[in-house]
Amino acid sequence: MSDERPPEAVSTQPLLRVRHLRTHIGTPRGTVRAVDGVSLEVERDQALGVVGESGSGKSVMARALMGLLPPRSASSGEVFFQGRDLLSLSRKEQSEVWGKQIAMVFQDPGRPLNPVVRVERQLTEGMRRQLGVGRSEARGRAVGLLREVGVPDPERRLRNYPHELSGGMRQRVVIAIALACEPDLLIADEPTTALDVTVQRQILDLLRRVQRERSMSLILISHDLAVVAGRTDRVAVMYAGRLAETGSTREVFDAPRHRYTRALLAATPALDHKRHTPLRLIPGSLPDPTELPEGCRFAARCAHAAEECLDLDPYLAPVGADHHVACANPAAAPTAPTTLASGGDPLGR
Amino acid sequence: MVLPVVRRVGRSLLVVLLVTMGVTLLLSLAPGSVAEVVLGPDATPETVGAMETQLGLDQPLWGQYWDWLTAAAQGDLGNSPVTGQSVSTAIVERLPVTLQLAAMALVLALAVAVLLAVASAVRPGSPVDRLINAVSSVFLSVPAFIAGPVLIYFFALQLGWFPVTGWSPASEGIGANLRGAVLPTVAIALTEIAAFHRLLRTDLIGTLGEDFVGAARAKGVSGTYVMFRHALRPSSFSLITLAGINLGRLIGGTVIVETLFTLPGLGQLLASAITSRDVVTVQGIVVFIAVVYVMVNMLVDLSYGLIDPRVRKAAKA
Ligand SMILES: Nc1ncnc2c1ncn2[C@@H]1O[C@H](COP(=O)(O)OP(=O)(O)OP(=O)(O)O)[C@@H](O)[C@H]1O
Ligand code: SF4
Ligand SMILES: [Mg+2]
Repeated sequence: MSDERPPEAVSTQPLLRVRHLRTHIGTPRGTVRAVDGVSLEVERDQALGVVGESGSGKSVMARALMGLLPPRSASSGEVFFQGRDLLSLSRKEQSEVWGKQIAMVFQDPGRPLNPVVRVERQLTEGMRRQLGVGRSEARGRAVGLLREVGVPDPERRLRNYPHELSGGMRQRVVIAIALACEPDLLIADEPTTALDVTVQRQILDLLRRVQRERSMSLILISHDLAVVAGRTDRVAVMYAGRLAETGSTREVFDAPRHRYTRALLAATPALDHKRHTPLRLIPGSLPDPTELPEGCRFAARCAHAAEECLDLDPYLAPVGADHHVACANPAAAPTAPTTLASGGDPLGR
Repeated sequence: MVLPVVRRVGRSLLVVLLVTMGVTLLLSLAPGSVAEVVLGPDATPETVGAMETQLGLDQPLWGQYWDWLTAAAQGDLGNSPVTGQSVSTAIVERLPVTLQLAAMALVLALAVAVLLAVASAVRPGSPVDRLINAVSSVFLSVPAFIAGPVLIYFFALQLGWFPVTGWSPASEGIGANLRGAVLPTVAIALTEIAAFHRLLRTDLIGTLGEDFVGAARAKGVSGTYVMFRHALRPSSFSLITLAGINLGRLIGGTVIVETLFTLPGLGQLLASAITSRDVVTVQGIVVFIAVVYVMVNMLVDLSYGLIDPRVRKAAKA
C-alpha cells in the first residue's frame, strides 16, 4: 500500500486519515501488538463505527488516535487530522487538540467524573482553557450543553456533584463535557456498557443526534454490532489489531464479505435481546497478541480457511465502491440485492 | 449526628481519666517527692514530711487522685507546689509559644510536602522522585535533637542569620519574634515534611490512575491544573488525618525542640514539672493535651466533609 495522495485530494482531504497505525505495548509476556497496521478514514460529518470482539484493539487504537498511549508502548504510522500528523505533536500541541478538535468518551470508566468537583467546573474548565471564554459565558454554554444532551433542569444540575446524578445522567454529562469545546471529531469508546438497556439506547441515539446536528464526525466503538448498525454511516470491523472489513454500514451489514464479519453477524443476538450479554460470539478466541500467527489472524477459527490463508497475510482490497475486505477467500457477494429488503436498521435496534 | 458526638466525648473523657490516673501512678513510683525538690537537699526529713502532709501527699494515692479529679472537674487544675502558680495560668502563659510553633511548623510542613509530593507523583520513579524520596528518608530518620543542633550550628552560629536560642514574644516586635521562631519551626517541620510527603505521594499516585484524571487531561487542561484542581483534593484524606494527629501532638508541646532552643512553651513546662515531681502541673498539662486531641480530631472529621461531598451526604442521611 502506498501513501502518496493525488494532488487534488488535499482540498477534499478526509477529516481523519489513519495510515498503517501500529501500537505495540511492551509487557512482561512479550510485545502486545494491540494495533498492528490500521488504515482508515473518517470524513467530515460522518459517523464511523468500529466493531470487534473484546481484545481486538479498539480502545488502544482510539487512545492512540488521541496520542494517549499506554506506558511502555511504541506507535508508528500516521494519524493525519486536518492535515497535521497527530503522532508527531509535542505534549503541548497535543493538549491544544484535545477537547477542541478531538474529544473522547472513554470506555466505561468507573468514575469518568471527579467525585469531589461540581458538574459546573467539570463542564466549563475545558472551554475556559481551550476557547478562552469567561466564567459567566462558560456557565451559559454549560446550561445549553446540558439541555442539548437532554439533562433536565440544567441550572440545578450544574451545582450537583456526580454522585447526585443517576448513571444515565452522568453519562449525558460526560458527553456534554466532550462536546464542550465543539470538537470536530468525537470518539466514543463503548459509551454505554455500564448502563441498562433502555438508557443505552437513549445515549446512543443521543450521540447520533448531536453528531448530525453539529455536523461533527463520530467514531463509535463497540463490541456489539447492533449498537453500530443504525447509527453510523460507515463501519470498520477490527480483528486482532487489524481491520478485516470496512465499508458503508449498510453494505457491510447487508453484504458482508469477510468471513469474520459474517460469523460475527450470525452470532449477534437479534433485536431486543433481554440482557446485554457480551457473548463469546464465535467458537475459539482471539490469537495471543504477543504471538500473532502468520497469514490470516482469523484462520484458526475460520470455517473457510484455505491453504493460502495460512501463509498470505491478506490486506484490505476493494470489493465495491466503498467496501474493502482483507480476506483471501471472501464470501461471495449476494446475487439478490437484499439491501432493498432490509429497511432502515439492519438489526432492528 | 448527635449520638456519635456523645459517644465520642464519652470515649475521650475515659481516655483523659485513664491517662491522668496513669500519670499519677507513674510519678508516685519514681523515687523522691515534690517536697524534696522544693525544699532542696538540705531539708530535714521532718520538714519534708510536714510539707508532704500539707500537700496531702501522705494520703493514699487514690485519695489524692480523687481530690485532684473533683477539683479539675470544676475547672480548678490546682496550684503548682513548686512555683505556687496556678496551673491553668501557667498553661495559658506558655500556650502562645507552643501554638505559634505548632501552627508555623504545620503550615510549613504541609506547603513543602504538597509541592514535593506533587513533584514526586508527576513521574513516579523518575530521578526527581528518587531524589525527593531519598531526602525525605533522611528527614524522617533524623530526630529533632540532631536536626536542631545542626541547624543552630549552620544558620545561627556560622551564618548568624537567626538567634541561637531564646524566644522573643510577638508583642515585642513581629520581626524578632519570627526570626527566633524560624529554626525551631524548621527543626520540627523536617520530620513532618517527610511523613506528609510519603503519605500524599502514595495517595496522589493512586488518584492519578483514576479515570476522571485521564478524562480531565483529555479536556486539554494543563498537567498542573489537573494535579492541583483534580487530583490533590481527593488524595488528601490520609494527609489531613495525619496532620490533625500531629497538630494535636505539637500543641501538646514539642519538648525536645523547646528545650534545645530554650523556648518558654508547654513542652518545657511539662519537662520541668516532671523532673520536679510536680504531679499537679503534669496532670494539668495532660488534661489540656487530651482536650486538644479531642478537638483536633473533631475538626479533622469535619474537614472530611469539606473535602468530599459524599461524606457530607452520608452525614446528613
Ligand atoms: N496498557 C496495556 N498494557 C498491555 N496490554 C494492553 C494494554 N491495553 C490493552 N492491552 C492489550 O491490547 C489488546 C487490545 O486491547 P483493547 O483494550 O484495545 O481491546 P478492545 O478491543 O478495546 O476490547 P474491549 O472490547 O474489551 O474494550 C488486548 O490484548 C489487551 O490485553
Ligand atoms: S483469509 Fe481465509 S482464514 Fe482468513 S477469514 Fe478469510 S477465509 Fe477465513
Ligand atoms: Mg475497549
